[in-house]
Amino acid sequence: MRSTSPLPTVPPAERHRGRRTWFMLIHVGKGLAGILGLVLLYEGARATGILPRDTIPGAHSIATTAVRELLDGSLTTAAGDTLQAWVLGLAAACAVGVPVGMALGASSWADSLAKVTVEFLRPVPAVALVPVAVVSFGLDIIMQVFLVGFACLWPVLIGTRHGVRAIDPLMIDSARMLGLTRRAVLTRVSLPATLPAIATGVRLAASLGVIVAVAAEIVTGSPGLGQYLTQAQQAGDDAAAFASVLMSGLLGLAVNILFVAAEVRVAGWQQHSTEGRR
Amino acid sequence: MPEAIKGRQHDRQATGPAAATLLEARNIAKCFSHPNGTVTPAIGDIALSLAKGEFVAIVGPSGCGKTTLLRCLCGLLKPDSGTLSYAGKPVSDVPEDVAVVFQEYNRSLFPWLSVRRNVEFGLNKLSKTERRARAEEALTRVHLTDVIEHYPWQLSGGMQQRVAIARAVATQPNLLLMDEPFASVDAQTRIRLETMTASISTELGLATLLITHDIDEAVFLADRVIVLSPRPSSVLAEVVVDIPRPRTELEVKAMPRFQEYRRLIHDLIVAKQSDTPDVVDTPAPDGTEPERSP
Amino acid sequence: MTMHETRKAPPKGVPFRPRGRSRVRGLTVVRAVAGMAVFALLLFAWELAGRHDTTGLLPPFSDVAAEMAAILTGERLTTDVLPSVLRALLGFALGSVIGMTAGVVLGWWRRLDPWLRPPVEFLRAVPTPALVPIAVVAFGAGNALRVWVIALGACWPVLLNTMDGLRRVEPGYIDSARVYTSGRTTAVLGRAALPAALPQITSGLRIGLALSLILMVISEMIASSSGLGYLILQSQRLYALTPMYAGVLILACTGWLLTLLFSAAERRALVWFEGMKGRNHA
Repeated sequence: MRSTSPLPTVPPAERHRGRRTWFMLIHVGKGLAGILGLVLLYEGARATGILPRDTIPGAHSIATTAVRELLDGSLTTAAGDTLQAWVLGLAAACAVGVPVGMALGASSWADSLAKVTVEFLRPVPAVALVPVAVVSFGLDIIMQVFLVGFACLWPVLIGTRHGVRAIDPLMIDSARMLGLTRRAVLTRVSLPATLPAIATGVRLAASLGVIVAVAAEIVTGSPGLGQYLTQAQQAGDDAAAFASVLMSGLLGLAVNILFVAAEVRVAGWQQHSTEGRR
Repeated sequence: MPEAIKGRQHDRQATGPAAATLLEARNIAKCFSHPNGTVTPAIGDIALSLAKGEFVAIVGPSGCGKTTLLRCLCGLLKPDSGTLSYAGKPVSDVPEDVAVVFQEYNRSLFPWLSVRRNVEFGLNKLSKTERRARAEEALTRVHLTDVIEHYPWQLSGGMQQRVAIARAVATQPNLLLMDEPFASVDAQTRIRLETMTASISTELGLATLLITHDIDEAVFLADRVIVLSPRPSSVLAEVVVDIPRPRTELEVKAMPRFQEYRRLIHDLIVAKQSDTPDVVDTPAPDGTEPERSP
Repeated sequence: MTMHETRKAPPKGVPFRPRGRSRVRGLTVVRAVAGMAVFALLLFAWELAGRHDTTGLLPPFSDVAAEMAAILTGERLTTDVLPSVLRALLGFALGSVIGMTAGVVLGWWRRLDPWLRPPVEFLRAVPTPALVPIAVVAFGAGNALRVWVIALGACWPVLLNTMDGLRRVEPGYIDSARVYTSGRTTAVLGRAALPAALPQITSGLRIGLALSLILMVISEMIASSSGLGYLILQSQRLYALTPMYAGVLILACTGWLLTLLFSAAERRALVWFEGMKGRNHA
């Protein structure tokens, strides 16, 4: 067990504010150097021909195009569209996944009943359902929400179920012994205990949702970064196409960072245990 | 009247049964620096030596860096300063014929291997039949032959620690280091394990260095007890335990001599202890192994 | 001196077998059957809905099943279904190798971490489907390309989980390995760190497998004229809904089967892990 000790026991030799900031700057600097290295690698691949130079634009042109498109709005709108479908899909997935997951986790009978169905539906790639979704909902945003929702449902559901099942019965017993009513046990013990697992599930779902949203847009042409990409390609504007890929990457990164931070907030108290792997 | 030899031992040969000095440490110091810039001294200035076949116990208050010291002595951690030599050569990584029994058996025995495989782990260089023979021999010494195909996590704490001891003994080491091996075990089991350790150590003529916070254990098992000061630790005193072997638990603990040694060491520790607050696990420092609570 | 404090020990020579949650064997069977019954009920509901469907959007299950059989016994098996699955598996294998190698490097040599983490995090955040159209334009749409795209997408969960798994290895195992082996990196890594990280690594492999299937479908929907994904998309465009649903079901079954096989293999490799978990839970 590691608790960060808030105090060194002996009057510390050095403890300058300056020293700490210096350390942080170095850390950030290394990260930036790493990214720079990546860009150099990319340009190197272009220069040597591993990446064909005529179809793959240089880093500089991608960057300028991206900035230009962002400022004039088209890339921003596309990003907004993707985000919209993603948010709604993720919300729908949570709205269904958390209650169902809790039910499955709490009742082992319900779990057995649903097991075969869940195990069968789970591995279905959401993108395989694109045609089904198009047929059922047309090209409206509801189609995208359905796809993102379907893909995001499973990590949330499985994560919640896992969290409920992992609750230590000893905790429940202790709570009961202390006189809590059944309802209070649920809200004050079970729910907080499950929250970390739910947070992990939602985080995985969030990243997956971005991928599915973009993929659906590429295949169906519904508004968003994916559509922007295919349109740019058709127009022959490779730099813009790459700019949209860059944007999707940044979006995915932002989503990931956000949800990791949220997860740490919610689950920071939890010890790493072998049960926690997922 | 038992006497404590106060202060450090740097210029003297190891006391105890005269034999070649196996382990020699001088001016060992270790500090941990944290990413946020603070520096925590763990060991101040330690000097000690160990002769072949000698059983030495190191006692000290909580938080004085005992585990850090052990890790420096066996080569797992590099001290900031000082010299450390094993069998005449300077220590860089863990020497071939040194074995260690760690405090937490469930975090040092490998859960994916059976008891047999765990004990055979250090014997890779031998042929298969030799490995099996040695493993069985070691497990016989610790009386665990009936669980040889089990997994360690299927066993109780005491049994797991015995597996750890078997693993160490199977490699036929010249030096055995033990880091509070019986701290995580219940009191009755602890006594049985102590007796077992004493007999194994004597039978094999093994040089043993035991880190413990239990003064009774230290006096019962050791030829010599080294008492450490609180952090940053240094050697407060060395107490030669002049109780003849073989030592049986009931007999020895009833001896007035035993009580005197005990009292002496206890007083030494308590006298110094009042100045230092308690410490919890410090966070993993930058680039080096995390300090575990000693 | 023996201390009989072990849990129910298996007889000598028998490897440890983890128990299910239900104590009574009979009950487990009943539950399994009940689960299958529920699933069958859903299929039955589909059948009914299809029969009474007036919009023409939902063919009954029996029709779809018949179409499935036709596809699987006809020539489309060898021209579309099997090549797709093969591509997915090849991509998965390639991606796993890349992912594990990179994961070991990044997970073991932690000094590299501040340098390499940001670019890795960025690369992994780029949705692989977005790279498919670009890759097609750059390299042309061939089999090799599709396998590579699948590999480069599927390697990320493997990489991240390998890296994470190695970092979370109990320091005690590393210490023990340093004491009881030659101490060289290959020994410590191979004999202690990797086995300890295996549960986490297989978790990543499982996600990678699912991702391989997804990427296979996407790459075929975007840039292919054959394969299972193409079949599904093409059917939709032609409004031939029965083959479309049939294709989706075949895909679902393939995914389910592969996952089943993977789980079985995983359980065998991680017998010890299941046992440990069981102990902690009980």
